[in-house]
Amino acid sequence: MLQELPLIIAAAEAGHDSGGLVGTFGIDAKIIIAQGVNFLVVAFLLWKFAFKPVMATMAERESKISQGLTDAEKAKQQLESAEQEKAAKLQEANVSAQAIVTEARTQAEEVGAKQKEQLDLELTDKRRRAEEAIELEREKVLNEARADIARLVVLTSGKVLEKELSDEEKTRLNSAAAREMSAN
Amino acid sequence: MADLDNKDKKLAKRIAQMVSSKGDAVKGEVAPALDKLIGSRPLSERRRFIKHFLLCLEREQRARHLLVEHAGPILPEDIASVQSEFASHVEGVTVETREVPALLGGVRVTLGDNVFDASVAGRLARLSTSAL
Repeated sequence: MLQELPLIIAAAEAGHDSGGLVGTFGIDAKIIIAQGVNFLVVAFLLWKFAFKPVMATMAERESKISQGLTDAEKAKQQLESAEQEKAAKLQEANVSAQAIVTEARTQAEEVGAKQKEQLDLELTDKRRRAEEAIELEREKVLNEARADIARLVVLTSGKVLEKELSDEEKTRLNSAAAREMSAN
Repeated sequence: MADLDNKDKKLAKRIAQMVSSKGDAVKGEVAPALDKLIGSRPLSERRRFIKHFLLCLEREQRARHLLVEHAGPILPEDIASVQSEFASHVEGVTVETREVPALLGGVRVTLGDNVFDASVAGRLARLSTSAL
C-alpha cells in the first residue's frame, strides 16, 4: 500500500492537471495526503506499541523454544549417555554376576569335595571301629566258649574222678602229694 | 583313745612271738615280765598294750597253725612228713587235719595266710584257669 501511494499521488496530480483522471474518480489530494499521514501515524503506532512487543515476545518465545530445543537435545544426549552408562553398568553387573556365580559354583564344588572327603573319612573310621568291635566280640565269644569247655572238662573230670577213685588210690595220691611238698 | 607308740607295739609283738614259739615253756615268765614292763603304767595304757599283745598273739598262732586238708584216708607218716617239712621253717607249728572230699585226692596245706595246694581238685582248677 505504501509503495502504491506515490503512484496514486502522481496519478491524481496528472489527473488534476489534465482534469481527467482525478476528476473522473473524484480523488481529493488533500484527503489522500491526510489519509496517508493518518496511515503512517497508525502504522507507526502499531509498529511502536503492537508489532514491536509482539516481535519481542516472538523473539523471546523463539529464544525460549531454541533454548528448549537445545535443552531437549542436551537431555536427549544425557539420556543417550545415561542409556550407554546403564548398558555399560548392566554389562559390568552381568560380568560381576557371572564371576560371582562362577566363584560360588567353584566354592560349592570345593565344599562338596571337602564334605565328601570328610564323609569318606568318617565312613572309613566307622567301618574300622565296627570291624574292631566285631573282632573283639568274636574274641569274647571264643574266650567264653573256651572257658565253658574248660569248665565242663574240669567238672566232668572231677565227677568222674570222684566216682572212680577208690580209697586206696586216694591214699596213694595223698602220699604222693605229701612227698611232693616235702621235696619242695 | 591314743594308740600305742611303735616301741610298745614292737615289744608286744616280740612277747607274742616268744609265747607262740616256746608255748608252755615261757608260761610262767610272761606274767612277771609284763608286770615289770607295764605294771606301773596307767590302766588305759595297760589295756591298750594287752589288747595289742593279744592281737599279735592271735596272728602268731594263726601263722603257726598248720591245716592239712585231704580227700580219703591219709597215712600218719604222710602227715608227719608234711609237719616236719613246715616245722623246719616255722617254730612251734600245731597241726590240724580235716577231710575234704571235694579235693578228690592229694592234700592242701594252709599255714597262716599261705595255701599250698597239691590236691587233684586244685590241679584241675589250675588247668581250667590256664586254658582260658
